[in-house]
Amino acid sequence: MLLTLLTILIVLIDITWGPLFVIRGIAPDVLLVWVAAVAILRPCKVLRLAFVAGLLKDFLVGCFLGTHAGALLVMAGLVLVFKDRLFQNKLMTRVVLLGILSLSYPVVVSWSRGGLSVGRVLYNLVVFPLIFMLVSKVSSGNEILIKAD
Amino acid sequence: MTHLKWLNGQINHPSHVAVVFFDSMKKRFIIFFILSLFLNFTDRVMGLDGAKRKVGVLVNPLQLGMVEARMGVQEAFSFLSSLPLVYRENLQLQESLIKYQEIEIENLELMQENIILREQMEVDLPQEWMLEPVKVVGFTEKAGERLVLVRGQASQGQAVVLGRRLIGEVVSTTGLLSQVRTIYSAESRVAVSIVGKEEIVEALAEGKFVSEVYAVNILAEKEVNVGDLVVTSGAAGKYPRGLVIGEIEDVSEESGEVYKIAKVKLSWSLRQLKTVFVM
Repeated sequence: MLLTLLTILIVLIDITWGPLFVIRGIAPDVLLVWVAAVAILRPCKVLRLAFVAGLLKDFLVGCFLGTHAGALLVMAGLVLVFKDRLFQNKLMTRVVLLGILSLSYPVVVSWSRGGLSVGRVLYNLVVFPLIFMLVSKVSSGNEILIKAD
Repeated sequence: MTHLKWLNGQINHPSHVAVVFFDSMKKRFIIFFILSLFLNFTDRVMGLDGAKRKVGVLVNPLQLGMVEARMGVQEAFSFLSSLPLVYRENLQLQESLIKYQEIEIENLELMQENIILREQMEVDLPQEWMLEPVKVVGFTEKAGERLVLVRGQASQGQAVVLGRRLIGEVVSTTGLLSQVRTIYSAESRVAVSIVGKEEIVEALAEGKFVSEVYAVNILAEKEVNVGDLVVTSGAAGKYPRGLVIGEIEDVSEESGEVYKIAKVKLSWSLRQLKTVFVM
């Protein structure tokens, strides 16, 4: 419940407070970073959250419904697929994943917003540790540990 | 492990956990993704404005509140970030203000000088007097005597006038600065004529107490009245005849005395002097 409420808050922050974080015309994809962090720490909940958050963003932004919902789902799916295949629990995995997500998200959304931008990737990487810490705080004690033989 | 409740009944062995989990996630992903595509397609083809409006009723106030909060924070940040700039601009403006005030003062002085020059030009004086304007720059004390400092071409002994009024005489000159002894000075002696209704009485104008002038050496039997005009007589040769000193303000007479004195009211004061003319 707390995670859902926080996700809604993140959506609102992403949309309304975006201009506050703009540096040299580049704003971070706070919602994308949030979804990536949730996908790493709370994989069982991420798809539902990504869908709901994306849908809410579609409503608020005023674009066609399902645009951001689908894009965020794909992003979450990418994290789920790759997070355990690359260097597990390694910092580099997260950095690479987030870099890929940051570059592919605007393409998937078909939403220009500056298009592909290395600056945004770097900005997202800067924001990521903060959001990752927030998600880990929220989900501490409830984390699912999945280990195959 | 609390979140694995939904997997109940599907796990027989720990190795199945991951497989079952990812199968379930895949299903969920496909369902949500198809739902997204369906919504997108429906919105594009049919339009879901009704649903958007209904959701808007719920989320728009929240969004508005967030935007207002952001604007407040943004304003606070921009205010804080602009403080150094504002401070620098303020300093520059203060400097500019001082410069403009100096210019304004200069303009005012020029305007006053212009008025004085015009007034002087309108006064009907003999052309051979050759008046030269000099600027009053201040005052100085010399042996208890207050002298006026003027800047301009002047030489010792020249009479100083303003309009038709006598101000005093130049007593010393150093470069472009000259000291003027006014008729208010206790050292000043001017031969004057008191022009009455019936007769003209000769006397001597003396300065007293820095701000007063008295006509002395008036023969007691001569008639002098309040309001009589006092002008230079030209008798001593120092000043030309006909320059205005002032008018009689008060006459004091004691019985048995040969002479009487009269207080002269001048139409100018030291503070009013800005530009005067040397003759």
